Amino acid sequence: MASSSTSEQKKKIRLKSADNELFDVDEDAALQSETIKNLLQEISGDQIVPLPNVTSKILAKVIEYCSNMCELDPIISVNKQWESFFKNCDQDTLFDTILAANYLSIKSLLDLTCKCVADMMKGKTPEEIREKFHIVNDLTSEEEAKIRAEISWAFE
Amino acid sequence: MDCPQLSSKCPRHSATSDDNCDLDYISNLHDDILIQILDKLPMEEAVDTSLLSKRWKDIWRYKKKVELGYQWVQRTGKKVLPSLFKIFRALREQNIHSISVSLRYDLSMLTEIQSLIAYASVKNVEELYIDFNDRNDRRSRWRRRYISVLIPECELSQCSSLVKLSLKSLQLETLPPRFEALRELFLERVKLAEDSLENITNNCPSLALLSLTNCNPNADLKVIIGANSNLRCLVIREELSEVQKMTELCIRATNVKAIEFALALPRKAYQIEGTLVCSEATFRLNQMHRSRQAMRVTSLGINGKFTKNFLGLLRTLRAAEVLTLSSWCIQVLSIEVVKLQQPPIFEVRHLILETGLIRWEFRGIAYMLLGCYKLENLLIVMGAPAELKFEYMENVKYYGITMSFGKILQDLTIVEFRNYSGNYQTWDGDDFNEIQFFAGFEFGSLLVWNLKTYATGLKKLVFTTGKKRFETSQFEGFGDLFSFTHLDYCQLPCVYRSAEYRGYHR
Repeated sequence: MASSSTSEQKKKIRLKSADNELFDVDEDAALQSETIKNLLQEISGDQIVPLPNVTSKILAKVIEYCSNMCELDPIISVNKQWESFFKNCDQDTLFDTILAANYLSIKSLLDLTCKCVADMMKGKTPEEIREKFHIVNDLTSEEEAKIRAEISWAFE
Repeated sequence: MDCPQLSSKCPRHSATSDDNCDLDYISNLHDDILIQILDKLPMEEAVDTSLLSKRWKDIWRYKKKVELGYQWVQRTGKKVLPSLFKIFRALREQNIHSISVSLRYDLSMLTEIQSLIAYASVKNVEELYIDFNDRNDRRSRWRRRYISVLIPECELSQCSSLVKLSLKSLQLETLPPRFEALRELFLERVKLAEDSLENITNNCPSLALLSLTNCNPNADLKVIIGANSNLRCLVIREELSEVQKMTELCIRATNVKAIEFALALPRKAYQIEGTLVCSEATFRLNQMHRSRQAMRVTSLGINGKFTKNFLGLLRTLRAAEVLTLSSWCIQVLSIEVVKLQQPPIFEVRHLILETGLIRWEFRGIAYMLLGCYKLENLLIVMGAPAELKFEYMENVKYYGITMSFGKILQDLTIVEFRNYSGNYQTWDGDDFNEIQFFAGFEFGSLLVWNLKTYATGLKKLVFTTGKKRFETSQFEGFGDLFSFTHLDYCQLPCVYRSAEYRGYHR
């Protein structure tokens, strides 16, 4: 089948992850990150952009997301597929992606991942949320009683 | 006190054996991120998180989005508005981004609503949503009501932070001239007087988007956009089940750049006063086929005024440069082709067709492609087709002048097909398979064949799925025709010949 790809002509940006892996990314995809945009203005020409806070595993995911977002029309729900990915991945990946999205300041990705966490909390009691996210309850019973009293205007 | 140490009492290592799976990632997130997460939870659940641990105790107090509705009432047993003011007192953030309130309004709430709006201006709220007649409230039967609430006149300060305002189920005379920054106004089930919209658009200098959903469902609706308004985009969303069929809609919107008709065209008549020169027009009428009347096709076409109103509006908006049509519209245009009705001359340069690419939509697509002689970009968004029933039309013979079209689609350079719903979403490298891409869309390849044959200036053909995109500028091997038997009426310039041709041979 005949084919041609225009991707060769696009400008590439080279990113370096925390574990020193190099990624060549289309410029439009990379520019979704405000942080990379700012870094590019500081460094000159074809230098490598170092991202010491993001591991290669997470960076690969973030790059996939960004290239998806600029290739496809975001109005129609490409987001759904990413949402289901983040809902089904392990918490490790989900929270590392949140940290990466925050550090790279990619608003749509941060929004999406935060929404996934919120959906995981929805409809659960505090006990269930603690269990889900392995939160240790460090409140003494007096403290807990005090908080309950503080929010009693709403619930009692 | 109920078992606060649940997680440590019953350690779980069942499904995953990941070493890290017991770490508390969430509590280690920065405050700002936790607040963002809580902003995506309704208020009652956010307040509950204060019981999780010390880390979480006060995080909810920095929420920037406040959302209260019937769920709150169910969970707390408290009324919405009094709770709202208590929440305002408990919040510690200087600015609040958005407030969303759903309730069943009665007269006793008037002063509270007015203080809510005043509070919103003090807290620099940017988005405000109020539903005065909440359908989710199950305590008593929902009845259609339009509450008369006076939006308070400018007393204290200008409400200069508000960017987005959404109001449901009330009577609105006008908005006072204090919403200086208001850019988007959404009105749903709102009763409007004849000059309401004219006053509102004149009073809000920044207003760019006005969306009207089922407004004046029992009466005529006058959509008059003020002469001084900077409104760019007008959206009219109406449902067959909500809006009275004997009413009319009248539009005077001389300066509006984009207009959208969504869901359905339920009214008896649609009148345009003055000129309507939009550069962008959208007909996303994907609820038309839900009404029996709007889907029964007889030898005359579709019964009643449905087709007539759509065709009239389409003709009025033929100078638009960007045009979007949904499946129902395309099927109506197919009927026009069978009736040998020639397309008007469109100025459209970008055409977006949301189509099921079924047999009956091919002629409607042809109608648009023949009428849009300036077309440069064509985008086909593939999805479920509307459900018109065409049995009658198949056997009807129309006699008239057959039309032949010479050079067509001379300016068309880019065609894109989008299929987000199909099973075929991804492929290896450039190994794209057209047959799998069009699985379930029987006329996809036929359309590709027509485009590559008749659009002689075509430069690029694009196939997009939710995951991948394939572009090509060499069309050999695409749109192969071996599977098409009715070749004569499947060729774009010949679609108008088919009816007579078939009649002749019988």
